Amino acid sequence: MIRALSSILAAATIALAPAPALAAEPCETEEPAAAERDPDERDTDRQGWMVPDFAKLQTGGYVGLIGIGVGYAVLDDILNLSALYGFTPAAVAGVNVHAIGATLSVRPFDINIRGRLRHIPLYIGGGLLFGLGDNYFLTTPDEYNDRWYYVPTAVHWLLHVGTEVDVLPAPGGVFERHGLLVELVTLDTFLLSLIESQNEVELDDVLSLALGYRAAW
Amino acid sequence: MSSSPGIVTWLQRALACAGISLVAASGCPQATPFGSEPERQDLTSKNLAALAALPEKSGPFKIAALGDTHDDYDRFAKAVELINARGDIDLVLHAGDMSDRGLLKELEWTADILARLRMPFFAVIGNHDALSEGKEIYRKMFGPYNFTFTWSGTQFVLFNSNSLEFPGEAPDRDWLTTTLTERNGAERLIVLTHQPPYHPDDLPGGTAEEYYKYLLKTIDIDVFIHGHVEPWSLSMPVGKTPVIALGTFQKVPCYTVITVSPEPGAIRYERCDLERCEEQTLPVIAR
Repeated sequence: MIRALSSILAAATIALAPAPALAAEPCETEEPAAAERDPDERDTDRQGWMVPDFAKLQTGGYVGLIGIGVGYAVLDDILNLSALYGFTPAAVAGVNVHAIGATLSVRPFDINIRGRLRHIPLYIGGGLLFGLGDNYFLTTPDEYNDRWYYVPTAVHWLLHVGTEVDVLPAPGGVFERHGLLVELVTLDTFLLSLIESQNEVELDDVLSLALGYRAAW
Repeated sequence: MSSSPGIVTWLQRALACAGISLVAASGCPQATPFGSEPERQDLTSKNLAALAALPEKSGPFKIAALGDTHDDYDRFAKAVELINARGDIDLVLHAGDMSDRGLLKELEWTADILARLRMPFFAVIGNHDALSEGKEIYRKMFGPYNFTFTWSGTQFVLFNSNSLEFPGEAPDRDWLTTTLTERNGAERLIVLTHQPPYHPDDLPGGTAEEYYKYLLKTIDIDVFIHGHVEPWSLSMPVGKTPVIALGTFQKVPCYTVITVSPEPGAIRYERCDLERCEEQTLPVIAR
């Protein structure tokens, strides 16, 4: 079901981008402010560097069924730093799962579509996934002789690739862009298993699809 | 005056649409790696039922045993293939550490491979399996941590020996001592657990090793099988009980075939790598 929904969502996002709005030539009704926007500037950072630049909502990507957080757009949105809190209810996972995902994405390329849409065709990144709760630890508990007896269970490495389409509203509003993103995410343990056991472990075993919305101001 | 988007724009949209849809349709629904709801459940009870449906043997029967298969699913699958191909194995024992970090996906990969066995199989929980949500996953996927069954005149006792991961709970000494002592009228007694009876991982000041030595000295156990440590070995470290260390499959892939015979003390052992099996010998024990 998630597969079908994500396909429909992704297809609709692109196909329903407002065609009439992508005017080739300015006409009398076009807002004068639009002509002042620098088409090459991806993030104006109007609130200053300390204030987060965007909020993010996503499902999947190993963070959880629902993930919510904020992030910073650095170097004119070429780098994104995000922190998400993720929750998956016991009805889905068998146990209530709380997690935090902290990621860095590198997004150097974009396609500006007539100043109203921006497509970031491919970005890559990685980060850490923290499992929260009594069953997870960063260092082995004291009763073990060896502090590093186990690889920490509370933290895993993440790697992702993604694509994003941003809708650019007219200048002057609260939001600078609304983005819909799709990512494929893998986890350290799973990726290693894929590398070491290429017959038994398949690619879709080790990937999680993330669908997200990003609102930048 | 407005105009329609050019062909380039539509091509861009079409490509992006196709790319995203392809990605989305790849089928990657895992929301979290920390889940605890396995697809396969109650494997211990299902395999007990399967074993009960098999005719009991008055003559020799064969067990294949292996452990610590985590991270090596390809060669583990190969071992399962070889065990099946032999055609003479009656049941399979797994000494635990089916996963590295107790993640659901790891245990499901293992269970999928075990499910290809053409004979009943039973597994104990290893220390790595107890990490993350592994305790709950094992409980749902397999069943109780400690259980016993009898087949063809042999009682099998499988128990949780991971003292550090189950402080105060493992081993369950009351259950284990009672179960081993009662013996259910069986002629032979085979024990499987993850930790070795000598130098097991234990809490500071723990007495698990002394307890296991006591069991080996006082109870007539025919074979004590365990995983967790390298290398593979067949020895009698305490008393007259053969103790098999199965080795760690992920480091040295091998499985052990144990032929259990009605004659007292006539148990044979083969150590099998993925190419050949070699008989291993112990002195026959006169009873």
